[in-house]
Amino acid sequence: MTLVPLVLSPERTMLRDTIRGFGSRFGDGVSVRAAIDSELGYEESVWRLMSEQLGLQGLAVPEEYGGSGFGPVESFLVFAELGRTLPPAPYFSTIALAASVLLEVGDAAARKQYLPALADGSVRATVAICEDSGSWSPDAVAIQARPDADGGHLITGVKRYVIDAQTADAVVVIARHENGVGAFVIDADAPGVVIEPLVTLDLTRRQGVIRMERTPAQLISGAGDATAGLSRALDRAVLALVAEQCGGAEHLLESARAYAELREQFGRPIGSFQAIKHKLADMAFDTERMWAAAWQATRAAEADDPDLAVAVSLAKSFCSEAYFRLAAENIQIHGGIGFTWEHEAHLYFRRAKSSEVILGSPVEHRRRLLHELGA
Amino acid sequence: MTNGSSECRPADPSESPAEFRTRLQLWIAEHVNPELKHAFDPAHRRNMTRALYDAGFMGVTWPREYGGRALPAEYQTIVNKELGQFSWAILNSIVTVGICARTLLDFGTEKHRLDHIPRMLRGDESWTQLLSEPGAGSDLASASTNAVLDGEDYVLNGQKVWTSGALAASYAIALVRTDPSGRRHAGLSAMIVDMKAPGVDIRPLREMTGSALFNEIFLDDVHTSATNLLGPLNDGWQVVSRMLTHERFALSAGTDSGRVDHDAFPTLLARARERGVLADPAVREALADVFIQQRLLDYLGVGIREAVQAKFDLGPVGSLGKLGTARASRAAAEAGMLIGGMEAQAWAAGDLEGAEQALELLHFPKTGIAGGTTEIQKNIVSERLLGLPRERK
Repeated sequence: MTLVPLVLSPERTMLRDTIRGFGSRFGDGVSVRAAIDSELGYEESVWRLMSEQLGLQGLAVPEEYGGSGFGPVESFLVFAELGRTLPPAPYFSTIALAASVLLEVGDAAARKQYLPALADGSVRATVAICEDSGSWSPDAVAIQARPDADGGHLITGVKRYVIDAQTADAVVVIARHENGVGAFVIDADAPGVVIEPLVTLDLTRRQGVIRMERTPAQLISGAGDATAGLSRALDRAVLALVAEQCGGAEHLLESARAYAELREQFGRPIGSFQAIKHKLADMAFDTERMWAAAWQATRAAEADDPDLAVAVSLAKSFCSEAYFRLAAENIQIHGGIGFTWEHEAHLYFRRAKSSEVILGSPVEHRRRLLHELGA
Repeated sequence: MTNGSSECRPADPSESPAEFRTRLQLWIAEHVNPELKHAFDPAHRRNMTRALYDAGFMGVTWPREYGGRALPAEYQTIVNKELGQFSWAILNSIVTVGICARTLLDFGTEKHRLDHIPRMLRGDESWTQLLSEPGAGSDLASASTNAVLDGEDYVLNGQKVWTSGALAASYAIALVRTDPSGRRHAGLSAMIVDMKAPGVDIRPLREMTGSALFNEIFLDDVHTSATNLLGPLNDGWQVVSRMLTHERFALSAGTDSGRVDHDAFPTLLARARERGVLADPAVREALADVFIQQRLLDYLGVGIREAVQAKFDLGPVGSLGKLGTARASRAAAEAGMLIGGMEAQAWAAGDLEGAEQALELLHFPKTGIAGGTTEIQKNIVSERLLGLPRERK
């Protein structure tokens, strides 16, 4: 629990506690390491359990598409728990990314076609937006979707840093059409698709390159320019990402604190030395502010606040940098043992640095923040 | 009208937050003239505070029997936000309301509360604290100012330091030693002292800013009624401990103290534009940092207020807010100097606006020292919030 606790209804508290239980069970050291070394990167049985027993995939999908119809607050609580222990599953890609795009820009037919399958876990999906520049902004998208003879589109081009590209069944590709930027769906095994796994700093989240050569693509965002809706979808994904960072931060603080209490040197716990105490105080300070930033942004999303973009960019900027500070300091407090492969500390260190730049770097988000403020 | 009873309150008790906000905005537009900013003195601030109280905007979350309106935390958040740009126009009530009134609520008798709190909320009484001594700064428990019972009065002798607003203060809460045989925390008591009583000698302390916000206080046979004892005799440390917790809450998260959030961002943004440096990447990064630090402080405050209202037992989380205040204050001060360049470090005589950035810079060090240093706050966070072992003696 954070030092300044969230004030939650009994139902939300129960949701959080349930997912916490799941996270402890399936995000334990053995499972995480096994997943890292495995072909798939996660256990199919766990993915099924998530949907069948916990309804996680369908949590924030509207009821008309087979989901539970919960909102940003419930999403936040779930992603925070998943960030605490890093249980392996293509959940962020399928739900935070793909489902968000479908919900924000998908036309009625596309939502009806895809959301139920995402909600029940039968289809894993992801979003392909970055190109050579590595930018997550719709404005930076250059690859083109050209109309084909049968009323569909064909895409040729390369998308990079696609999260869970290797295991997705369907990919939402952001590309340019005649009227601007649009969202398209391709089957992962469609003609012309070649997926190359990347080696990632973050061992718990895979990425791949998707090369497309005249690949059939279904336009799902309608005829016009979908930039505004895509921005909103990406903001939803950012909220999920910062939620994960918050959960991870809390875990790291507790890990470092517990170690400082336990580990004795020079005849006393190292946590009794002021230097270590002050590091932990700094970590607590960062953790509380991460939660405050992410929670307020989440509530702004729930309230459809017109200044949501400011709150989201603030949260991404602050939480990302704080999370990495925490991850580095956690290793520092653990000393030598924190530097080992076997210790979990580097998994979070890797996750922190990678998630710092996914969905826009802190510098880019501060740029957007100022722009939104009219500066 | 001095007792702040409900007859003074024209506000509709059932007004919604939105209605409250609109009414406050209109009131400010009508009564607060930004052009008078540099001309405002303590008497003006007092009048403005009283007028705001009479209009139902001060002490809004306090119990009605003590002059408040018993409104939820949300209303105080609105007050903090709307008055944020006008902190120059009102009394800074952190000490009087956020610290001392809170402490009276915790440890005062009903008579203490009824006599003082409504007046404190309205701005009719200013309070201060007599805590630190030359030999007892961060280590308050080594205080040696003593109080001896003489008939129905205590008689105080000693010296206090770092007392803010002493000249304007009507009363103080003092930390004194009532049992000379007690060592450190044992033998300390808290009591209310009339700052206008004979024997109270106030000497302003000039700080690096050039002004004298703080004072030395020499207490020479100062009498205070035995009924002014706050909390148990010889167990005043718990009173002072709680008072310090309130101090950190009030200085940072501004729970319901009437503190308004001074938001440096709009001023700095305007200044950057005026100086034509808004496109400079370093300036933009600095501005973004100021904005973010200020908002984080706001958000932390909201979270603390809501958790307090939901009756969570928080412990000294105000220390987190205090760390944030120091951080935000420095960020704003340094950003201001970056934006100002050479202009910020030298200006024409009488140019009050030209002096502003330098003054912000000269003020920021106190935010990491007053109210308990940053290092002490980190000790509190790590020991009392995170449960780490205390330093061996």
